[in-house]
Amino acid sequence: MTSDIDNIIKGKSFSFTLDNNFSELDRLHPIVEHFGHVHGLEKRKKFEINLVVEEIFTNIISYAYEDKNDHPILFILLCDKNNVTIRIEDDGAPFNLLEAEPADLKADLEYRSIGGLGIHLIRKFVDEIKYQRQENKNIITIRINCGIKEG
Amino acid sequence: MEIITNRDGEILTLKLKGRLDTNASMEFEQQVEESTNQNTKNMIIDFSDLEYICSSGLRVIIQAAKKLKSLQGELVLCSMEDYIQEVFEISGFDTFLKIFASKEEALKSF
Repeated sequence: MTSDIDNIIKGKSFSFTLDNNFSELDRLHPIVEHFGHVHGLEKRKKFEINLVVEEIFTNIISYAYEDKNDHPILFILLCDKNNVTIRIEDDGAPFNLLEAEPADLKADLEYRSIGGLGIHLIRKFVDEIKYQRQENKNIITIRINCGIKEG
Repeated sequence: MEIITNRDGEILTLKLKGRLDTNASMEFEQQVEESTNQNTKNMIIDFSDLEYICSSGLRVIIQAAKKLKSLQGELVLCSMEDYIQEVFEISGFDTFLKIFASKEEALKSF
């Protein structure tokens, strides 16, 4: 990570775009990791943020688009005294993560279905999650309480 | 992510090193597929060097468990960081997958 990115991250918010491509995960993880590091987040919290962002991103890649084109997905990360706020915008088909079917957690190994697990994890690790549809975009905003010390 | 394989008699251990993200899950799935057969149906996944997991990784693990069970074998897990183990607990996976604190305990369980 360059010092340019450090300077941007220490400001109010940090934004970047990724294409709707699984290979972009290789860019996503170091950015989110660095964001957590700069704001002094503990290991567990950094993991949870990383996980939630990946789950949302991979959901968008898998379900938001029917064409084979590249689409930019916008991420805005913000850290204040107690919270990390993350906003993710895509211009794909209307898709509200919050209305997706929850995972069947009671099913045993034989009958456990594979779907819904990502969304279940997102719900468990965020303190607040909001979906909006605005100007042909899906906007997911999540807040994760971090109890960050002023640095 | 690196996958290190090790045999203790009939038990195969896959030690995962690094991050099990969506991309790594695809390679992991392939490794599991190649490793499991009638002669290798008891497996340990060692998480001691794994620092990250996501739902794709969990899915590969559950599929591996199902496959080994269908071969009359078993998959057990060991040596997770606390926040990784929490993901398994939140997903309810700990109700049907055995998670041990160490590889020694995992080996003894077979």
